[in-house]
Amino acid sequence: MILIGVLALYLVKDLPAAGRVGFASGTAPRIFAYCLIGLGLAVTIIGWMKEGPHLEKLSIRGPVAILGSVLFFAFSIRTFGLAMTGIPMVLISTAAARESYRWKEALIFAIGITGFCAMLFPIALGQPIPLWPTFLR
Amino acid sequence: MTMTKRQGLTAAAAIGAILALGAGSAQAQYPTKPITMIVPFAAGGPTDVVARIVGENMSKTLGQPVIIENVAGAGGTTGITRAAKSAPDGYTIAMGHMGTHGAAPGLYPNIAYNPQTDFAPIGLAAGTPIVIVARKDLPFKTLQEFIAYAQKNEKTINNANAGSGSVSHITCVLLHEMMKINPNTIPYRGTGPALTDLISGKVDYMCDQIVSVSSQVKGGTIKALAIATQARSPSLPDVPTTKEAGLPAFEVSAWNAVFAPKGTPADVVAKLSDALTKAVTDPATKKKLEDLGGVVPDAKGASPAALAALVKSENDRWIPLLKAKVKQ
Amino acid sequence: MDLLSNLAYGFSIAATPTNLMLCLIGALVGTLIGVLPGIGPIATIAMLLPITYKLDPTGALIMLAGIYYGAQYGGSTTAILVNLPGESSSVVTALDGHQMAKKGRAGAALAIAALGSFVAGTFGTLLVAALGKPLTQVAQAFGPADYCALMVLGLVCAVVLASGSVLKAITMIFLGLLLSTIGTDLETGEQRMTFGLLPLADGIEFVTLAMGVFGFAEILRNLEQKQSRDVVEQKITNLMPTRADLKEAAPAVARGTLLGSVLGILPGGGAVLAAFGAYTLEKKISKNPQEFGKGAICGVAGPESANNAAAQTSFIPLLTLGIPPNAVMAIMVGAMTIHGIVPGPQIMTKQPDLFWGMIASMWLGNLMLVIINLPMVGLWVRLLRVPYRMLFPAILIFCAIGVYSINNQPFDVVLTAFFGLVGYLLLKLGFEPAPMLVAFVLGKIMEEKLRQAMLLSRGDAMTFFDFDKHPISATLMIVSIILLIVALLPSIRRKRDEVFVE
Repeated sequence: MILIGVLALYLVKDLPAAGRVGFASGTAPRIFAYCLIGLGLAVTIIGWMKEGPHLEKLSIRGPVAILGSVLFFAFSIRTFGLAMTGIPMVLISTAAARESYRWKEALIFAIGITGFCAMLFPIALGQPIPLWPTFLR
Repeated sequence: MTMTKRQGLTAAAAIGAILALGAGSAQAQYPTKPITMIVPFAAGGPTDVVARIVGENMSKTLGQPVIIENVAGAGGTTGITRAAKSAPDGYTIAMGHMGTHGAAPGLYPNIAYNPQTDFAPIGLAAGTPIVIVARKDLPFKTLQEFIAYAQKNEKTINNANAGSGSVSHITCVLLHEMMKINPNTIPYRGTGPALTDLISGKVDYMCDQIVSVSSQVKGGTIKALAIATQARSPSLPDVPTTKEAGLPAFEVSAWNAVFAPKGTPADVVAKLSDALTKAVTDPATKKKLEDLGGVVPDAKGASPAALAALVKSENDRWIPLLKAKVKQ
Repeated sequence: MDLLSNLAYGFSIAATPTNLMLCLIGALVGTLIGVLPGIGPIATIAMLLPITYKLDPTGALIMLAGIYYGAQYGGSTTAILVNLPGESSSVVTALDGHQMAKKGRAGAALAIAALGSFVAGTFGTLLVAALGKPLTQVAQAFGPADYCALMVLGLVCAVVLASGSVLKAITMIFLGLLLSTIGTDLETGEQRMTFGLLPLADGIEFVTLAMGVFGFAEILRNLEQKQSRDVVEQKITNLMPTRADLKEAAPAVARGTLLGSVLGILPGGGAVLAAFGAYTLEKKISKNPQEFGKGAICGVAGPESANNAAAQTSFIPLLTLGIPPNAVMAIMVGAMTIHGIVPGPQIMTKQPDLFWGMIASMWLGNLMLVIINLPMVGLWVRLLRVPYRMLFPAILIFCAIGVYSINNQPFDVVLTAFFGLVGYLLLKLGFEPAPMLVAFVLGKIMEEKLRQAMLLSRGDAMTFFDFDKHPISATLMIVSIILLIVALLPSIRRKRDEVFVE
């Protein structure tokens, strides 16, 4: 609960650089940010008062693997192309599942799904997505 | 397609080579794969349409498809920045325009490219004239009457534009400078909503590209005061030029032109330029562009040298004006 | 009668084998890209434009229009099955649709969405044909102040979207509003809250945000709760809605259709407002409002009909004035101009083929969508039986490609990952993302219209309440205030009750 208040504070810290007095570019974001801080505090206070159900434990493995695989995609798509990005991405993300990790299945699945995407997006739909690494093109 | 990718490429390369030979070039290497043309605006806009029409014809000459990639954002500077930084091998070119290569340095202080030094100009594709349009029920008919009216009602008149940095914004900045007024300016997100409010009379006048406004003028929902070109446009033959209407200094065009990144080999530039010239002088393509209200250059006007000169003169004209007049 | 003969004329154009084929292809491609998360109609239509160069303009437009409403519909499928709203208007569908899927009633949800959309589409098409011109006048009456007031009303309604704490919902609305102000300022061109990052200069893409807070966050949550996904996998009851379902949903479809038809005329935000306006309406008049958010069939039927009706009537500004109300239609205008037709107010008289052919093809397209989609329901539901450990990497890679393809920018994918994390934390903290997304969409329009209204009134804030000049705005504002009070009262009272209980 506190997090949202902190988030708002952080955002508002960034604002004065953009805002100006009067009804200008910074006005609306500022109003919204102040309201958000106020509400964030209110939620926090109510949260403290009520002693609600305890927060569920945050898991680490899932987010790291999922977000890691997505970030991997973002950083390698333009240089390495879809074929070289998709397979490792799927491999990383499957590691997020808690079940015992099955290498072979994951690898076959990764190749399959990447191949499917390669057929679908750049070829069938004509999206301008690089398929192969830059050094091969 | 039943050919494998490699076979396809070889075949396409062969076709490319034949066509290139036909075009009289000694080196038949470039292009061996599709060429990407970055359009720094959303699909469907005036620049996009010009790029698609010209690109289609260029691909016939080059023997490789010219693929349009829309990279919109920040008044077109996002896409142009990417084009400037891409490999100078002739496989990534861009359709720049008056905003990205003429005015942007005056609007965006952190711009990551220099229109004059970071590009190898290929050539001008089409000029799109700017038209001054106004609400149909206001008490003036000519540009002179409008200027008088606007000067008298400077405090209450409302000028609309398609957003900060858009062609309609900067051209009206120039117009206001010439009319010596500083009216209330209402920004919209794109030409569409601005036109809607102009038609329904919530704002009073705007400047925009002929392709966006001509059908409304013909339909009688708004009135055109003047067109900012030297000659009248065939798509709006009744609208006088600014010269005829008594404001000759206001001559502006939202030109669209093809650029390659700096360092592109001279023979590649020559091939691209040749393909572009062929496109704009091809009767069918020329007609398509002219139907949109475009002013299509002749072979000389479409040359790299002419484009380099145009960028320089446009920079000289816009950058000081916009730095002085537009808050940053 | 004039209308009938015109419609017959339209059908004679649209029902040629070629045009029917084009319509079918369009609807199929549209459904496909709608189902694929992230790949929007804009990117696809832009890519398919070169194909249409070779067609005649009417055929080209029929195909593009098919893609447009196919995508609108396909988006709901993903929203229901995997809680991934690919279009802003399917955010609302995801709320109850996905809950129905979790209860094993995905088939019923999908079928009711298809049927509701068809009814709405039919009505919307008729409305466009019969009352296109007068409805344009209605849309023209809306000025910046009126839009702004409408958005305020929309935000007030958004509070109702949440099934949990009202205070948290309002907090999320403001977060959404704040996010919507990121990017280049419209008036001055200043960069706001972009941290100097060029890709942020145009603000955050809706899809980026939605994929993150809905899609990725949902995957993260599912991964740690083994139970919930087993429910989706195993317990799939009857595929088709029962008679009782249909009876319950029918009035919701009717109400949604009416609301959607009216709001669809307004360019920008019409479809979103329609979808969750319908949801709010259904929740308010329902006998069991507590069912909403847990899989109420009316919560799917109403919004789905509304958004499809709006998808039809949103063609009105394009067809009568030649002004594209959204990005998809802007591309259609582009397609027309490439064919040498510059659309304008005379399109109805100058190009009757195009005008009436389009209208007839709208209905045919809707018919095709039902024909395509009803048999597909079984297939989609079977997709849910795929083990989750295989399903989620596939969703991930589709999302990543989809987000990347919007602007061809890797940064957007990074941003989605970030919002995935944010969405996950928000879920953990009990904040619901739906009001935030709605506020995000409306916020952009609201700020723009607010600034315009203030500029037009020379800084007079009372312009919104001026009955003489802006009767629509003033009425809407007063309605919003009343609604806000009504919405807040019970929660304030409840809070007091809770305090007493403790």
